[in-house]
Amino acid sequence: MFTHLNVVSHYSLRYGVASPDEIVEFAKQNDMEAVSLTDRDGLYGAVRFAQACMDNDINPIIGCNLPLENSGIEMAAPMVGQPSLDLKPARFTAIAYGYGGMVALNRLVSAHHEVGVTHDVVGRTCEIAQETNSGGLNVLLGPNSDLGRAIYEKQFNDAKRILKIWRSTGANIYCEIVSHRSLGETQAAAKMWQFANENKVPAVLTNAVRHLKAEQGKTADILDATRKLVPLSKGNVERKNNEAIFKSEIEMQRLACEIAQVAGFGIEEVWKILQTTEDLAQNSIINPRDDMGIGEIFVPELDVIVNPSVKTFEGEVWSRPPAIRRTKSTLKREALQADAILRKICQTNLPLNNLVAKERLEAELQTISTLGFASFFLTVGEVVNLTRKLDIRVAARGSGAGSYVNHLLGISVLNPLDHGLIMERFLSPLRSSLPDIDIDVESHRRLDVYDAIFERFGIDRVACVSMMDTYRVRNAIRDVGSALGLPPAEIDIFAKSFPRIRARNARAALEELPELARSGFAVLAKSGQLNPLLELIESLDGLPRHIAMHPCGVLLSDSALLDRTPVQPSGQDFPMSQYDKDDVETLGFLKLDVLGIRMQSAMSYAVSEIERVENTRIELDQVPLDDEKTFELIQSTKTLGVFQIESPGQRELIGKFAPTTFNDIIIDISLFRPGPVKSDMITPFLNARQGWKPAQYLHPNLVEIVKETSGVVVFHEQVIKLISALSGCTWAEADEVRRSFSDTENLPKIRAWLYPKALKLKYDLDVIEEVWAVLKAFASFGFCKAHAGAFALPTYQSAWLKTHHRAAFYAGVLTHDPGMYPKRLIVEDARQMGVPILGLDINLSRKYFVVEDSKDGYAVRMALSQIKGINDTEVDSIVDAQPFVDINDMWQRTNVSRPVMQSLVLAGAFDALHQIPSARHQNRSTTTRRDLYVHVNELARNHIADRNELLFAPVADAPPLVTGLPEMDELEKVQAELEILGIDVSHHVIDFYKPLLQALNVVSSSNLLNTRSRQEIFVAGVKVAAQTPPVRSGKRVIFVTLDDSTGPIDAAFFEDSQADYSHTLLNSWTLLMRGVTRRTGPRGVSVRGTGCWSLADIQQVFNNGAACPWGFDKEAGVQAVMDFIENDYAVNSNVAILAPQKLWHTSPGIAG
Amino acid sequence: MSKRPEVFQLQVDTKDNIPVRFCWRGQWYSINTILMYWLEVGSFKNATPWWESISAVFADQIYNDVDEQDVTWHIWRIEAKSPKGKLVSDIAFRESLFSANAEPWRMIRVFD
Repeated sequence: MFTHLNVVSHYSLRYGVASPDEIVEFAKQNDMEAVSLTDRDGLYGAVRFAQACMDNDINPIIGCNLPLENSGIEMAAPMVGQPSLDLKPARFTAIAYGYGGMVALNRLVSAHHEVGVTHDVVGRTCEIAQETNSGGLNVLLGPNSDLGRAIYEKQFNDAKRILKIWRSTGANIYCEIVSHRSLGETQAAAKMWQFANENKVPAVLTNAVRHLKAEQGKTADILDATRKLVPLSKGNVERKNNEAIFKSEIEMQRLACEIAQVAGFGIEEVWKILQTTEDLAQNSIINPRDDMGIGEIFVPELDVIVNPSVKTFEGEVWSRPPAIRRTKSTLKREALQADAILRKICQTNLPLNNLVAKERLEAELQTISTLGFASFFLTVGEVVNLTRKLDIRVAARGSGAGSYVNHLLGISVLNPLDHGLIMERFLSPLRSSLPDIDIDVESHRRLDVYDAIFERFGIDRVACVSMMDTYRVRNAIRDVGSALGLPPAEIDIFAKSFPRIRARNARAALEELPELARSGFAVLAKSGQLNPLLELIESLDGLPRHIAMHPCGVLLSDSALLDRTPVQPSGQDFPMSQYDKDDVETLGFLKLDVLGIRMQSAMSYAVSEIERVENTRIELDQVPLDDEKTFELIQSTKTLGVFQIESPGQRELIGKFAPTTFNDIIIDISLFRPGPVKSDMITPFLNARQGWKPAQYLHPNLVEIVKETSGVVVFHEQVIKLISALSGCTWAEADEVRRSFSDTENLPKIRAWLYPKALKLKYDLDVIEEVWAVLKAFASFGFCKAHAGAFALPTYQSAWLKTHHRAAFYAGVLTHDPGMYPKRLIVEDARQMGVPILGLDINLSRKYFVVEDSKDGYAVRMALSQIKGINDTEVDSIVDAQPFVDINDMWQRTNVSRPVMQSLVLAGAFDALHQIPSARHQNRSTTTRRDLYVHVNELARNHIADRNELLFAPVADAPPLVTGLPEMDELEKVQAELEILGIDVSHHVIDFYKPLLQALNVVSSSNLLNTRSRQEIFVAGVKVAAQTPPVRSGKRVIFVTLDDSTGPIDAAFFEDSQADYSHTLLNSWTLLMRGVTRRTGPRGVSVRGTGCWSLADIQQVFNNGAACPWGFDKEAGVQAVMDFIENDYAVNSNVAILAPQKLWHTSPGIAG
Repeated sequence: MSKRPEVFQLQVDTKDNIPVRFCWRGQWYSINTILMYWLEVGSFKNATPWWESISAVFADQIYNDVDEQDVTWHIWRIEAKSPKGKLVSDIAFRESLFSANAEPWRMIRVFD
């Protein structure tokens, strides 16, 4: 029997290669009963590893390989003639045994990231383990340890001193004998073994496994290079051969013999080292439940939840004394108290004389009590209260909105009783894991919520959840390319040519994606020349690159949090668990997703603007949900900027659907999901809803369940009720059945369970068959109604704001940018909806977009923060010093840099202050933007001269000279606006193409409704969005939205036209598009694209064609364009790659 | 006793895969004692690392997929004698799938 005690997984970032699952699989294949995971610098893979071991009946051993602070420098005392010493810190491996061992290991890893590990730190963590009375640490000192290095250098006195220090830490010390059979390594291992025997240190044999198979060696080399940020070279690669693999028992025995022979030991020593290794393995086996807490539930203690003044831990997290483990009776007593407190709060908020509400509350409280989850609800309620106290908008999302207790605690605004939402989808007595509650808060204040949670519950009960950034194709190409020393520019082009897909799909993408298949790279790949490169790229697929803070996950626990998870500081300096969201759930921590929602910020900002301008406080959550005008706006499909329903697909759907109630919005959101779209639930619903076909009800008993969706099963809740009605089981049981539908292998089992029950309830076989067919098709595709309801609320609220407080709505949307479209399209939409957009003004613009009462009604003023390159300090200094009398005044009283001053001038911020007229009204005595631009340079020169105390410094307060330079014309102004603000404020870009578009009879967005269906037309505009969402056929469709100043134009390019045009489509900004119209409802027309060209190219062709000796021949220009289009000259023009600005939004899945 | 690294091709006679005598610098040595035997894996020196041949693909050269790091050397530390005197050295046998025809024996170290 042999057990590997030193094995790293790919969670040894940019070092290891194999996943924890693969390690366990290898152990199983080699008939090993136990295996270890001893990753470097962290326990990132520990939970997955323990789970994999549990699943495969293998005993887990968990440790960590850590660097020893300053050890590299201490050892670096090379003498003449001595081999050079390694300046890298020495490393040792700590392996936990028992619960106390896991506590100590977690603390040791936290210490590594907080203060660095020294012998003293190891000593303190061993004390912590001792305080738990249940385990400790085994320390392996291998060839890279401080001891190992001293022995290798034949510094035996040093080695003895180091050994003494290690022994004083309280850990069990072992000499780790390793040989990868590189030059001299077996001799070094033999020396270490001899030292161990001489000094009575037990020796163990490991193979320091870095990769499982020899083939993975090259990947390890690439990781070495990327970790060290150097190209591959012999000096930079740690691997000397392919021996650091997962060897079999026989191979390890053979290795032991080989080292023993070099050490001069006999067979007894071989058996002894193998036995010691096995004894240590047996001693270090971790029980995932008892020692790690897998399968348990941990939430903050009740006195901490209800008593805000309870003192929490302060200090270095790694050194906190271990928590006292709460006994079962303590937990039971706390649970009963929590039940009582929860009941009291809910009953206080319960409406009087409402029997239905009372019964629902009782049922939910009963379930919560059975599960012992009252503290969970009280904790989440406390977090929501904290958030509200900070005056931050907060809303529950997900299935939690279906719980009445959540509503009564204030966690969810929606009343589930009003919308037919059920609790069982969220919480069921049949599921013992903690439910998932997500709360949406204003995005720009999300970290304020984090701060409040940490302050309230303390750093020993709260940590952020982490996530692993893993290799995908683009970064795999970049890292492999850099490691191989390939030219960075070529690597960059190669990487960018791929969409954001997995690295392992690189080859398939080169073959299948039209825009790639025609590239030079695809030709090389086809010839096989890229095979070695692509193999390396694919080998990096999914390997973790670095750890990051999860965008929204926070975990809460009792005071034993630091005993159960290692923490490290996040980029924003929050304590962050090394475990990801799945691990955290496995460990039974309370995981709360605090999602920053930009729309919540936008709405909050809009409300504050309304209050500022109109002196009226709007309580958005109190707005009635049946406002007729709001539904008129939604039905008009003019929903750009509105939460969830602004995309082309959604606008098409609401155009056909025409929602009239809040419940309709819930249905709409549920229908527009990948599942329902793929399984075509929309068409039968719309047919029935609009009365084009009668609604199909399968049985009178089932009518009530599916009536709200005209007979179509849309919601998970409907599936639950259908199963319950057909089988007579409870909703909780029915939800379990619904969940099992996601695995098709379960279908026969479900069928065998359902049919007899339905027959017993006297349903006809035909009815059962029909319901079964529906369940089979839709059970796994439906959407949780509570989740949709939680989404529908901000959808309705934002539509309400757009309807009744339009300027404030746009100010909010432009400031917080919540949607999929660029700001310039929102600006265009505002204009079309009658809200004037006012340009930048140095005295009137504020940090963010603000509402201004103009002569044309409420308008939106451009924000200073929109200026490219300006920083917050500069913006604040301007706003603090406003108003200014002239440009000199501003220069003197703010700390704005010269480039920003120049941008302000060019973007027209001083036009009003210096009465700059338009180019048309300019005369030689008026100041122009160009004069101010020159003046800024003078001011800057003066500033430098002043600083250098020059005698003849220019005068700082001299007025700008009128140089006679012409004012910028309208085109130049728009170009400056786009460059500086990213928004064409004074004119729409397409305005400058109007003569061309008129000559070509291009149809505008506002005229699309006047076209016939299936008519071939040209449209043109600025590309504002490009997406490749999943579609029913599974094929790739590129959806593009153009903006032509009269509204958006939605177009779809199917596979047949992608081969020729996808490159232009994805990489050009202004487009001329040919297509065929398609009516999508009473108010909608979309275009099926059949061709597209860069508008700039077309303009050039037109100008060249129209140029003639006698002036301008429009017909000839048009003919030239038609010839150009016929010949498809512009297909895949590479010019588009060099687009100067990226002013459109793209979704994942799109190249570029 | 110091080590003098030497890597020379060597003619070796074996019995049951164990070296019994070898010819070095024109002189035949018979092996008296095998002091140690172990394995070393990897290239001794000057082998082209795999990444250099992969980079060569971009210069239209042929990609050589042989990983020198896979080569296993069986090493014997032996005491041998010839009419001229005694010798302690490490001699190595190259075990490689890719070089069946190459001379597999090397003299890699001589102890003075």
